[in-house]
Amino acid sequence: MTSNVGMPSHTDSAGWAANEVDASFRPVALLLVTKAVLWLVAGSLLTLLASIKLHGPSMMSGSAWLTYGRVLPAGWTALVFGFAGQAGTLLGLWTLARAAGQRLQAPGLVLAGGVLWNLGVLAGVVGILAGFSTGREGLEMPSGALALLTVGAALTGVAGWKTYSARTTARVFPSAWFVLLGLIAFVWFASAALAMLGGADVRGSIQLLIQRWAGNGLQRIWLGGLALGLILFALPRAAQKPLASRELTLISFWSLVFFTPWAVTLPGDPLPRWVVSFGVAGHTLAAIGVLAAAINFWKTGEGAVARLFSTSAGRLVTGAAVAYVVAGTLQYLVSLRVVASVVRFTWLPVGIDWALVGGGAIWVVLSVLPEFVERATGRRLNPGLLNLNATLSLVGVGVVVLSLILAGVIQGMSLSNPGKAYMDTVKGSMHGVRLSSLGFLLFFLGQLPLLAAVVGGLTAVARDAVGAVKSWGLAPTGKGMGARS
Amino acid sequence: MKKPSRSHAGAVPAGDAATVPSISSYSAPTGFFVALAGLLYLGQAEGCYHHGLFSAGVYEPYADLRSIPSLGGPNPIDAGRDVYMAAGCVACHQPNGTGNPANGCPPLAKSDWVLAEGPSRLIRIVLHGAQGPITVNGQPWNGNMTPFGGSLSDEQIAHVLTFVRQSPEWGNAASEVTPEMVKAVREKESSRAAQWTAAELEKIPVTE
Amino acid sequence: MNSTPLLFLGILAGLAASWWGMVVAPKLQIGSAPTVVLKETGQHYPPTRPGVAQQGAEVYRSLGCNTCHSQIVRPEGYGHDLLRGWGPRRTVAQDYLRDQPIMLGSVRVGPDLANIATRMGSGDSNAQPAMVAYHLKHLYHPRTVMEGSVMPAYPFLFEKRRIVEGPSPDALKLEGAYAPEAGYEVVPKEEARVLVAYLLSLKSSASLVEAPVIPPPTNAPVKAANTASIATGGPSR
Ligand code: HEC
Ligand code: HEC
Repeated sequence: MTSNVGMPSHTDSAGWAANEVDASFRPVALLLVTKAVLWLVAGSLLTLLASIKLHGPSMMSGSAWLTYGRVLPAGWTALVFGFAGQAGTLLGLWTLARAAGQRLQAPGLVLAGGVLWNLGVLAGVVGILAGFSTGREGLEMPSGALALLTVGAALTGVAGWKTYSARTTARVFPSAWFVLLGLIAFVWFASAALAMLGGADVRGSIQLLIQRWAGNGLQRIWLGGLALGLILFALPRAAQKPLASRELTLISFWSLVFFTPWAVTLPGDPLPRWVVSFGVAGHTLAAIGVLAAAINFWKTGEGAVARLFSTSAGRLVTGAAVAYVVAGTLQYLVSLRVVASVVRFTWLPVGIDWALVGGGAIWVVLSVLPEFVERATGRRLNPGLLNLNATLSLVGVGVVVLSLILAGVIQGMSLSNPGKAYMDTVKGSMHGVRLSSLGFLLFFLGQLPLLAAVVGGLTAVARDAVGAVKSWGLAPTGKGMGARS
Repeated sequence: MKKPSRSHAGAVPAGDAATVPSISSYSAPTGFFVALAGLLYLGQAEGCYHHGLFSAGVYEPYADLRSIPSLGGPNPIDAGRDVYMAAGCVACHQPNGTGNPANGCPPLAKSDWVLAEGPSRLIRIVLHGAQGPITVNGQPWNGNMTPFGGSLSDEQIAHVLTFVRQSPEWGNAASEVTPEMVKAVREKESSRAAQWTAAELEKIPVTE
Repeated sequence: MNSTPLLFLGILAGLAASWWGMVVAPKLQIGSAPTVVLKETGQHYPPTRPGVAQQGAEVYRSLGCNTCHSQIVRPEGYGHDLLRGWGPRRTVAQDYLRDQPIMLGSVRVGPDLANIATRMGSGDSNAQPAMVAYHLKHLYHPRTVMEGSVMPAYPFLFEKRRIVEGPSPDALKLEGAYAPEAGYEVVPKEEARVLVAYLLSLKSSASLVEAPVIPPPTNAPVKAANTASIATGGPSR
């Protein structure tokens, strides 16, 4: 098997040389990456706070702004929309541009979209903390904030499609499809939710369906799709092997498009039996895409494990691949009636969310983001800080996922014993929950070095740029003044 | 052949920047396709076992309307009222039988169709559904009513139609519908699958 | 996959199909379901929420109580929701008809609240003042009524003030470490009152056609241990 990773295979057919593609991302990287990382720091801090608050009722109970029911969704919003989604979209556009052998088209739209996006996340996080949550799980941010995000995503999406349409390569590397899917999916699910949930004529259980459908779509198709696209791009690079199979990638892709959006309901939901069964069938069929991805990852990484583990980027993307498969598998299992009857409404589904978002999405973004920044700006980021970030993120999210899954299983078993007093169940599951606080702490601490690395690197870039402008701008002025005098 | 992979460390090389990974020609093992077929089967089986005949009123643990213990009453009118609620007639025709202009549902209260001398057309409407233009009490309507032949037994159809025709709340008073009448129509129209249109129904005598 | 329009149309078709199947079709079927008239009482179900309870729902939403509490009772065989006494029957779409937004919840850090109005002691009007007092104390600090609780305290829904002309009737009866210093009392703010009114409006226990309440057979297994019961004078641990 020969590999052309590391060789500029596309430059001959592509109209643009490699580094022009990367350089076209420079303004985007300079403007948006720091913001995304700030959301990561804020989000990991808020989720840490929420987790600490579970240790006792009086923990920071003095202010409504810091109550558990606000801090948790605010933190999750910052992580999902502020960081994973925002950075994932940027990296997605970058892989898309590379796959298309084309410079980023309409970078102005991406910048404008990014500004709206960050305003939206800000309005969302502050809105939730201030008490304006919508009360809809997964879509807690006030609808005005979601509207800003939707417009932002639409602008970015236009740039994505333009870049894809201007492609110069005959066969596009498949991670591009996932990026396009993600861009469309966000606008589709968010705008449908906005339009339908705003109306007063949508009542009760139908609201439940809409918010679950949109929430599932955003988490598994928008974010999950972006994550999968990035893993398919980054895993072979880190393994220095070709991606195993185009066919399996296609299966994952169309499964994500046609099956995953149906994975909306779970057994026990207050909906007619047929609606529930359609959702469960959706969960079952969605597992096809996960299985295809699992084999694809396995065959790509096979024989290159040592190489994958030798760099922090490799460790992160390997972790992301594993987490993606674990999350997808558990999501399928939880839709089975026997399993759902025990673990639904426990901590286990929370653990799954963390596996998909914290593991699948955030790890792969952390794996690719430094290289993106370096290539777009031509500036190296501090490798020591990045290593620290990778290790703490892997251990932190790993502990969170495992301890919540453990807590969920204990809680579920205990609830299945009707003779057991409820408070004993609460106490029994708290060990795992407390352990997860440690994971949240490590995860938060791990983002500080990343922030330092990114801010350090980008400030240096900005300083150079200012220096360049000055030396270029001041000289004529001086001359002019000299001429006048 | 290639440089060592760039870790998070290292200089920023300009050369290989355009690359995306290549793709090898690995094809998935037969086991994968067996699993894929298995999941497809399980997915459709889920729908087949739990569809509850697509009724709005069937929730787990009940498999269909017939198995709900409370569905039924001391007399056909009360039993029919339950079916009217659980089968979903109520969502379209409304509790007071006034229908709903918003989705083209004509009224049942004091409807000339409902109060016809015999129930032959009504049974057909419930069995196979109805769609297209229809005139009720001189007013034109145009909507789409789903079929209930699969989800309701002869007895339940008889009850719901008796309720509709005799509902004291709505001021309707017409003859009772018996399960035998429903059975007879069901057998006669056993080859029909399409929804009825008013034009077709009007060719059928109201009493058979 | 190299044709842009095909890719675009494929994606749209996939996303639109699920929208149709999981949103539009169920909405057509049950989206305009009206309230039903209950056989036993002749009243409409679900009843309209009193205005205070509706305000309380806003407080519940704003404080994110649904991050820890669900409002759903699952049918038999699902985690013993019924045996645990969380409701006499499963909940169905009809129960949520008046919820805007619906706050079903997805994690049960605390117990289910679908029937909290009737679950803790009798639902008759004599028990009302005791229930209100219980919930207010619980919200002020859960450990005043439930040892070892991890539910957050909500002291900001209350006001600590100096007693001027004798203690006010609605001051919380707090003891020990939770009592305010001498000369002070803790009284609920409006938010706390409406929140409790909302809690006391939560009941999904009427027998419905699609979800009948079936009296348990006489040899039913022991009822699951409940969290708290006011009727018995305090928390059962
Ligand atoms: C999806 C909404 C819907 C449901 C559910 C529904 N109907 Fe209808 N029904 C309609 C519409 C629409 C028409 C008019 C059909 C047409 O336009 O041709 C109709 C027509 C009728 C008519 C004849 C016209 C009239 O107004 O008298 C009867 C009788 C009737 N329905 C009874 C029932 C009964 C009984 C049920 C329950 C078993 C039921 N319907 C359920 C929508 C519905
Ligand atoms: C951190 C999670 C958490 C949050 C947030 C939370 N609760 Fe709780 N809640 C619990 C736990 C755990 C219990 C069980 C222990 C107890 O009774 O205090 C409980 C119990 C209750 C009970 C008593 C139920 C019973 O059966 O005894 C009520 C009522 C209640 N909560 C209402 C609320 C309201 C209202 C809010 C929002 C203001 C809220 N909870 C927010 C965790 C939470």
